[in-house]
Amino acid sequence: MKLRLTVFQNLLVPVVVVVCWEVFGRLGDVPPYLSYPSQILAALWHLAADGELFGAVVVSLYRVTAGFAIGASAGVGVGLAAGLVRGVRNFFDPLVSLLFAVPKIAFLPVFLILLGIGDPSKIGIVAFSCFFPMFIAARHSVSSINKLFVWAAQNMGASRHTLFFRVIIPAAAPEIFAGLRISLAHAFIVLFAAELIGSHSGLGMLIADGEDAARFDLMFAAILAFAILGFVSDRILMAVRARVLRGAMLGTEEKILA
Amino acid sequence: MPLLDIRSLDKSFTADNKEITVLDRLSLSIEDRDFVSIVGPTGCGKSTFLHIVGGFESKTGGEVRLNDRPLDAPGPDRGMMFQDHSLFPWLTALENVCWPLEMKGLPRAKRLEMAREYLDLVHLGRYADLYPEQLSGGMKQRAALARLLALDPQMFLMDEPFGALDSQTRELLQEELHAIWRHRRKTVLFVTHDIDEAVYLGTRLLVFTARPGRIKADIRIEADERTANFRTSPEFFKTRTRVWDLLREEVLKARALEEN
Ligand SMILES: Nc1ncnc2c1ncn2[C@@H]1O[C@H](COP(=O)(O)OP(=O)(O)OP(=O)(O)O)[C@@H](O)[C@H]1O
Ligand SMILES: [Mg+2]
Repeated sequence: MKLRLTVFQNLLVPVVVVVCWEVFGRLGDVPPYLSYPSQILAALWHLAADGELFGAVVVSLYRVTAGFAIGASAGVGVGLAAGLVRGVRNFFDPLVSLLFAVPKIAFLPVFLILLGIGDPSKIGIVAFSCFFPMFIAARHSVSSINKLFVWAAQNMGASRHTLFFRVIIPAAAPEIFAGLRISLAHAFIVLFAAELIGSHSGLGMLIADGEDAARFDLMFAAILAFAILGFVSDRILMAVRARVLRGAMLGTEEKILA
Repeated sequence: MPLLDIRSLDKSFTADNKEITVLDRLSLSIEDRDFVSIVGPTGCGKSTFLHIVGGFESKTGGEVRLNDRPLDAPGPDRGMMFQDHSLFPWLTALENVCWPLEMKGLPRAKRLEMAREYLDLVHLGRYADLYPEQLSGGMKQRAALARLLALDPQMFLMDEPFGALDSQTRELLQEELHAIWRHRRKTVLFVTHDIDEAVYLGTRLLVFTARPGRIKADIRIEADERTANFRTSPEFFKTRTRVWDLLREEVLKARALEEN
């Protein structure tokens, strides 16, 4: 019963929006650049059938994954180091504060000039934009660790190595996962923009092509594909998190307000 | 030579650019196998004192020597049970109790076996696989006690270890702790707000003054036998009343301090 209610609450708004969109679209009451759901699905089906979609998805997915992996690991590494070592912190804190709020897509020209129009520039800018939220999460995860955990571990005779891997990392893990989640979203956002502006391949380019050809159904089909990729990867990340964190996650999150 | 020798220990914190003195020229010697109960008004520096003896917090001045060596770092010879629970939330109760055993390098099977024994001792055997977040306040304290027993330090530093327990469980664990102290020849520093508990367990009882913390009274409690009989003996009541009066003065002072 509880589950059904949740499903109902989850789906109500999307279903109403889609149904209205479809109905008014068919009646011709929405402007053509909005297209409508069944047309978009047909376009998606068409794109999928001739293999174009698959190719674009593979390209975009590769870029997002590689960029996310590089940027997020760098963010975790440098962020943890900054949290633990004052010198590293002094070096990176002002730099990150300065750049964090700048839309990373503004740096696309630099990446295009340095790395060309292909994959490397896309991977580069995705990594660049993943780094910042990840750095901030990792850095603060360390400074917010309950000092009693560290004291207790030292009390039991933990070496520095043990302290880092068996106490600091697990204690920081919930915030690191929160950072990963935000980074992942940033990865998709910046890749979308980068492919839209300067690319010969990928989902973003498909969208740009649809727009140029005034094929709005194609454009929305590619956007939909993007949304699905983002959704699925977020869910995968959350599932990994639920497995990795187990006990540490209890009593946090939804439970606070539910 | 005393086991722990403290000479005019000072400790102050700076918070919001204001310096507050928490411990003021505190001197104290503790012999091996003493069971030292510590009572004092809230905020007088009892926890801070234990943290310094544990090597977690630095001192501002004075000298602290353990076995005639200056004490400056935490170590497994002094096991601390913190006032706030410090179990690792990412591990189950059992895994938490295994931790000190692993640090000592015991093999896995042995660790699990011993950890289960310690959990049984604090009546938590059935909850071994729960995470700290799933335990009640009293259960967390008992799990932390099991972890301390697993560490098996020479000196126990216990900061209100039974504060969250119901009175029945509390008495059972007091007896358990008394037996461990007696048979395994431990030294215990035991902070509590419960005067009965302090008198029942301690061979020495320190009353701290309101902040800045100093020792107002150092009372020896001779009774050897700590059975249910001791709890109803005239000796027990005499000491209890005396401590009550001493503490009352300090609690009133502490309250006046807070109101200013
Ligand atoms: N890290 C800190 N920074 C600043 N002030 C601190 C810090 N730790 C403790 N204090 C202050 O030191 C004083 C003593 O604190 P402490 O925790 O030792 O008291 P306590 O005797 O254990 O009290 P309680 O019985 O309530 O546990 C308090 O006034 C507290 O505000
Ligand atoms: Mg305290």
